[in-house]
Amino acid sequence: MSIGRTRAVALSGVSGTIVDVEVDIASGLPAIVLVGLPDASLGEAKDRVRSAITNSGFAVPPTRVTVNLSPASLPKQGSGFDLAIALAVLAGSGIVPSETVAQCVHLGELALDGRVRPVAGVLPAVVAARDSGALTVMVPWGNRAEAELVS
Amino acid sequence: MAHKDVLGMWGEEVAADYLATEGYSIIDRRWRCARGEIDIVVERDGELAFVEVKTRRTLRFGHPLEAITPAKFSRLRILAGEWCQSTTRSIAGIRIDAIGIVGDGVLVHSLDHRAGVIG
Repeated sequence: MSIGRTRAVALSGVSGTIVDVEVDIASGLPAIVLVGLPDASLGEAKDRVRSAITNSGFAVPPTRVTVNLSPASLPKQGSGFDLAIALAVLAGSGIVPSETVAQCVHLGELALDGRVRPVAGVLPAVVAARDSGALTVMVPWGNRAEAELVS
Repeated sequence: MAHKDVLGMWGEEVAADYLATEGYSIIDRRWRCARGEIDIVVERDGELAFVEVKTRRTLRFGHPLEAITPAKFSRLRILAGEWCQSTTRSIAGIRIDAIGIVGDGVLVHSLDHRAGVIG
């Protein structure tokens, strides 16, 4: 039915790789399906994202929501993809404008009430985002000092 | 009969009527075997659809189709296989459909038909 996209960063040691987060909102039973080699903590993102979206006053569409983290063969870990996944879901369901979300790199873990929590490795992630040509990176407030080190 | 069963029966009637108006032929209703029950079996253009119907009064506790968990869905797949074994019909293709109804037992507020759902 509709696609939402944004970007995040996968960290491996101190090097980061830009990851495209794609969300397809399709017909089917209500489910969030996360593909693209997530580890256990990233796999749990779907439950955090669902609660965070609902408790922020929006709704995850009651259909099959497929989230792909590309490059799909690159192993990904941690909770820093939560914000990107949530915004791609909201863009795919037409709640936030797709163009603005697609151009931005998003980092951050979500609390169940929708607050954005700081994550580890923001400095190398922002460096990777800058090196890939990204102009805007959205980071958790608690990580702003670290992110500001990158010019 | 419990209230929820009355509502469920009503939902199945609504779903069967809807499928008939969509051009499906009803092949079977409330088919039971030892492993469970299939709500509705329909056929259109040679393809069989096994239909699970979920009815709720309100959306307060989520969408009715959220009640079809992965475990429930795998049971539907097994039941579909059992039904196919029990018939002499020639079967060209099968799929599993889900119908979610929100209504109070008299008025239908919404009916959501998802054809060919996967786990």
